[in-house]
Order: sequence, then structure tokens, then C-alpha cells
Amino acid sequence: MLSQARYRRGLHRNFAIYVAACGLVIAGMMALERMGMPHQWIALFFLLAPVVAFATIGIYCRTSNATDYYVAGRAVPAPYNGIAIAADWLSVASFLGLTGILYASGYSGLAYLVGWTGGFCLIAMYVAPFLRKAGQYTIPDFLGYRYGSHWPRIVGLAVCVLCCFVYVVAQIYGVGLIVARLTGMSIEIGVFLGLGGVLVCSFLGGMRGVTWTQVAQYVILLIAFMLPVVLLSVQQTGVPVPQVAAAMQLPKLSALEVRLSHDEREQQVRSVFAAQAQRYAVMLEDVDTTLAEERSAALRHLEATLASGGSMEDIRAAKRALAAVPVDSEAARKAWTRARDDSVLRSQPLAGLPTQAPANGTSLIEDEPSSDGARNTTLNFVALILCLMAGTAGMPHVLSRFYTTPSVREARWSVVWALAGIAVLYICAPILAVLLRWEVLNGVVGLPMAQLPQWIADWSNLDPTLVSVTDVNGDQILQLAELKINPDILVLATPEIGGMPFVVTCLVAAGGLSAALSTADGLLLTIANALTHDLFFARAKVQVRASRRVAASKIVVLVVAFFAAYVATLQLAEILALVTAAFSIAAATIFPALVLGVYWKGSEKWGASAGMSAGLAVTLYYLLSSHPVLRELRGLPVGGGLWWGIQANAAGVFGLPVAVAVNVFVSLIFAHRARAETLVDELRRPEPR
Amino acid sequence: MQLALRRHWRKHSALVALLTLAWAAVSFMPPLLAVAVPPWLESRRVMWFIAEVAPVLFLVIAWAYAHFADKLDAEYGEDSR
Repeated sequence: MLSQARYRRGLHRNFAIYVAACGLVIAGMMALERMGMPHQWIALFFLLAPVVAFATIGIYCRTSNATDYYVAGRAVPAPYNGIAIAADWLSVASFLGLTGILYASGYSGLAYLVGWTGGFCLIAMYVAPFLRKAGQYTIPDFLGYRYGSHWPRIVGLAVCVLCCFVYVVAQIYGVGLIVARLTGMSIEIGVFLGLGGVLVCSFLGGMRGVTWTQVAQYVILLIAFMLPVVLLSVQQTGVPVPQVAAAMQLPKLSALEVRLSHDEREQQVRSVFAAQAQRYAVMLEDVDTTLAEERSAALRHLEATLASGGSMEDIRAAKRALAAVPVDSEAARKAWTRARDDSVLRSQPLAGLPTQAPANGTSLIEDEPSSDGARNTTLNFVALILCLMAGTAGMPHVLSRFYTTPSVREARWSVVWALAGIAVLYICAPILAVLLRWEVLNGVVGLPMAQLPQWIADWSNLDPTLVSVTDVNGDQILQLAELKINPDILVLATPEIGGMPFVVTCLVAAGGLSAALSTADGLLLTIANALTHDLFFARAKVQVRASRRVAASKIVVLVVAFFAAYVATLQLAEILALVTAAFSIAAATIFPALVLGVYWKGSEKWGASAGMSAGLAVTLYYLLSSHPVLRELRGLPVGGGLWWGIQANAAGVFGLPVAVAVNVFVSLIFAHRARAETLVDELRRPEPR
Repeated sequence: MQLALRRHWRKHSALVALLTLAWAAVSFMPPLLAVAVPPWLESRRVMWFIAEVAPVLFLVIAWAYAHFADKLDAEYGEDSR
């Protein structure tokens, strides 16, 4: 008891020192910037210092002990486990994506906020205490233990690996984006550089190393997210409380949005995009003929330029125009469809952005367009909330964190600490979206093209798909529809948009890096532990030494990490699209199997296996048949294949009831209650103090 | 002892059922209200409730579960030894 108290006091002291050190370092770097420290050195410091700090913790926590490696020795107190879970949870999707989606999709994006926080209530009541009571190492391990068979373990393993792999690809891509921004390198190189940062935290120490680096990462990402929000609030309204600042800005934003919607020049630009959309639609009616005409026109133009002795600049422009012609019909169809959809969006009022401050009486959800053309309905909103909540409560890399606490009681309180850590950021994300919308509409739109802020050129040079400006009406003034911003970069660009010191820009990038690293670490470890512990060693007929098992897990971490990095460089989909697919899979497979396993003694091995398989099959079918990216890959028109108008990002809402129904039905057929009675009673047994 | 464990589980299930109802109300009532708002309630306020108040209420629900489940464990935990 005494050593426990001493251990905790030591933790609190070290944590306080670390937080104070972070504050001092940030203040110190701000002073150095004011004294003229070059920006490259500041960027390098904020790229390297966090990684060195995390690597130091990772190396200090290195271990070959199985309990330390898999479950951090079951010695992590609730507050720190909660903070680590919060860091594990606050991925690139939360740190970068949530504000972006609220900016671009308006109030319908609040489904993510509600879904990702409400899911923790389900974890608290239905999952966490029972996982800790069982005292296993992984989620498939629990399924094998509860159902007394390898089949639920194997199905659970496949689902865990699929779910976590999709999620980790999104995180590693986010790491690449941030490293590229800090270093100026390409995203592909950034991905593999960032991978190094991921591995130094997780490779040597396993769950023990990952836990304590996640505690450190949370501090950085919290400061990195909150500081720009507070500074922007002060800048715009003089009030440091973001919620109050947003309430003050909303009426002004509403008036500005109405003015821009009726502005003559905005309407002129919108009509240009409408004509462009019409042109692309005509081109798409006969792709082969149009492609041949485009190619021959570009070739004729190049030949004419060469024949007339045009300047080098004219020749280069003609060659670029020829190179820009799609190589074949398939590429032409994809490119012109994307261009047509983009033009359609930009031809709408506010360039397709939903209003942040609509008048009363309007349906805030149902009026907003969505990226795949489907209508946003209340049914879709509710379905997405349900899917995200169940997915949260089934996410393997979060659930496995509850094995690391000393007791069931600490596991319960970990959820409270985790939710507190997450809610602090989440309630500020809508505020940031409102403040950024004001900055862009009020501070950038309407400026002369020659006087646009530097951040537009910087991001456009890094990657034109992130920020682009085109003067379609030739008036040398930026209209809203002429500006295109990828929502994923908004948080990273906030300090630049708000004219803050460069240190804050680098701090936000470091925060995003911490968010991506923390989640990627947790996911990689979950995949590797599941593959080694559940696929090989739990089923091995011969007992394998713990140090060998740990070594095998470390090797698998490396292999999975490099494969995920390769897939990330392919940039198959946006971060949020990948993440919501992972949630759908978890919602339709792991969540129902865990809950039924605890709350219904009748659930048995064949029911659990069949239920997870059926839930997965339905969810994957719906994703393949309705997800815009997957439909495009299959050459199908975007926007079709929806059931009751529910979008693909809520696919799990169909898999979940199927999983439950199949589990119940098959379990009733193969009823074997005797073993389950004792085991489930043991899981439900109250924990003595 | 079995009786005590059954009593514990019944109380625990009642606690979970009650908090699940609260969770469902916080999660699903606001979006339904946002569409069918009564005249005295602005849809913008409903959306701001979702954005700012709902996460805090979820935290309260999680806290309530941890607090009362701990009390149940303290009450019945010795009986389960």
C-alpha cells in the first residue's frame, strides 16, 4: 500500500515537471523567435524535440517481460490511463479532421462529436470493467476466454486487424502530411519519416512504452489545440473564452454569409462554375470522342506553337497542356467527373459550404449538401451517431487499454478521465470552425489576388490539392468560390490564418504529430499483439518463452508499420473516410460480441463467431456498394446504392442488428449454458476493496 | 453468497438501464428536436446544445456509473470473497 502511494506520488511529481517543462520550452521558443531565430531552426526543433522526448520515454520503458509488454504491467493508475486513452483516441481524425468537417459540412458534422464522446458511456457501462475483470491481453483473447473456443478468437482477430489496419493507414498518412508541412518534403517521404517517430515509441516498450509516451503526447496536443483557439478568440473578440467568442461572432458571420450569397461578383463566379459543370457533363456523355478531340487539339496547339517559333514559356505551357490530357478513357472519366462535381459544388451559394449561422426555422441538418451527393437527413444523422458510438465501444486499440489498470475500479475511472480529456478538445472544435470561417470569409475573401496572405501560397506550393486559387472571372479579386481549401489542413493552417507567431504554427504541427503518433502507436501494437498472441502463441501446442513472444511481436510491429506506410502513400481516401469505415466494422462485429458475451449467458461460441462474421459481411457489402470512393474505384456512379438514404459512413448501423440477431439465433440453436454460467458470473462478480 | 451476487447484478443492471436511458436521451433527442422544433426553441440552440453540452453530460453519465458501481462493489464485494 505504502509503495503504491509512493509510486503514485512519484508519477504526479514527474507529470507536473513535464507539464511545466513543456510550458517553459514553448515560452522560451517564442522569446527566441522574437529575438530573430530562423524559422527553419524553429520548425526543426518542434519536429525533433517531441520525437526525442517520446523516444526517450520509449527507450526508458523498454521491456521483454510479457505482462509489461502486453498490458503495461497492469500498473497504470486511472488518471494516467485515462489521459493515455484520450491521447490514443485523439487521432489525426479528431485533431485535424473534426474541425475540418465542421467547417465544410456544417452541423451535420456534429454527429462525429456526439458519436465519439457518447461511445465512452457505452464503454464505461458495457465493456471496460468486464474486460479488466477477465484480465486477458487482447480483445480476441477475451473472446477466446469468454466463449471457450478458438473460433471467436480467430474471427475477432481478423476483425481487429482489419479495423485497426484501416485506421492506422489514416494516421500514418496524417503523420506524413504534418512532417511534409514542417520539412517541405513530399508527403511520401514525410510518411516514412513519420513512421520512424511511430516506431521509436512502440517498438521497444510495447504497451508500457506506448502508455507513458501517450501521456506525454496528450499534454502537447492539448496545448497545441487550445492555444490557437484561445488566441483566435482574443484576436477576434478580445475574450479568451472560446465559447463566448463564438457566440459573439455567430450573428456577424450570419450577416456576412447572407451578403456573400447575394454578392454580384460571387454570383458571376458561380455562373462560370455552373457553365463549367455543364461543359464537363457534356464531355462525359461521350468520353472516347471528347478525349480524342482534346488530345488532338492540344497536339495541334503544340505544333502550331513550335512552327510559329513561340517563346520557351509558350512551348512549355503547350507541353504541359498536352501532358494534362488524361491518358485513357478511364482516367478521363474519373478526372472529368471529379471536375464536374467540384464545379457543381462551387456553383452553389457560399461555394457549397453550409451556413454556420442559419436563420431560425431552417432545418440545420437536412439542408446541407454532402460530399457524395446524398441528402443529409435526420435519419442519416442519427444512424451515424449510433454507428460511431457502437464503433467507439468496439474499437480494439481503445478497449485493450483497460487491461493496463491495477483493478476493475481503476478501469471504470479511466473512462471518466479519458472522456474528460477528450471532451475538453471536442467542445472547442465547433468553436474553431466558426472562428476560422469568420477569418476566411471576412479576412481573405474580397482581397486582391496580389495581396492574398502568404499561407495560401505556402500550402498551394506544398500540394495544390490542399489549397488552390483560380481567378475565373478575371477581376483580380478573390471570390469565395475561387478559393478551395482541403478541410484536413484547416487546424494546421490556423496559426497562419490568424497571423500568429511561427512558434504557434510549429506547435500545432507538433500537436498534430503527437495525435497521429499516439494513435498509430496504439493501433500498431494492437495489430501486432493480436497477430502474435492470438494467431500463434495462444494456440501453440508448445509453451513459448515470454521473451520470444515479445520479440516476435516487435518484429510484427515493424512489418505491419512498413506495409501500412506503403498503403498510406497511395492516398486512397481522405482520413475521415478511412476512419469511419473502421468504426463501422468495429460497431458491427466486436461491440455486439462483447456486450452479449457479458450480459447474456446464452451467447455461445458459434453464435458469437457467426454474429461477427454476418455483421462484417453486411457492413463490408454496404461499404463496397455505397461508399463514393469505392464506387468510383469500381467505375460506378457516385451517390447510388444507399439504403433509406443512409450514407456509407454509417454502414455499421446495418451490420450491428444483423450481428446481434445472428448471434442470438445461432446461440439458441447450439445452447451450452453450463460453462458460460460460471464464467459470466465470474465476470460480473463485484470486486472487493 | 449466490443470493448476494444476484442482488448485486440486479442493482448493477438497474443502474446501467437508467444511465443508458439518460445516454439515449442526450444522444438522440436533440437531433430529432432540431428538425421538429417547437416555436419557443430555436434550432440553432439545439445544435449548440449538441456541440457544447452533450459531451459534458456524457462525462456526467460516465462519472455517475463509476461512482455508483464502486458503491455497489463496496457493498457486495466482501460477500463475493
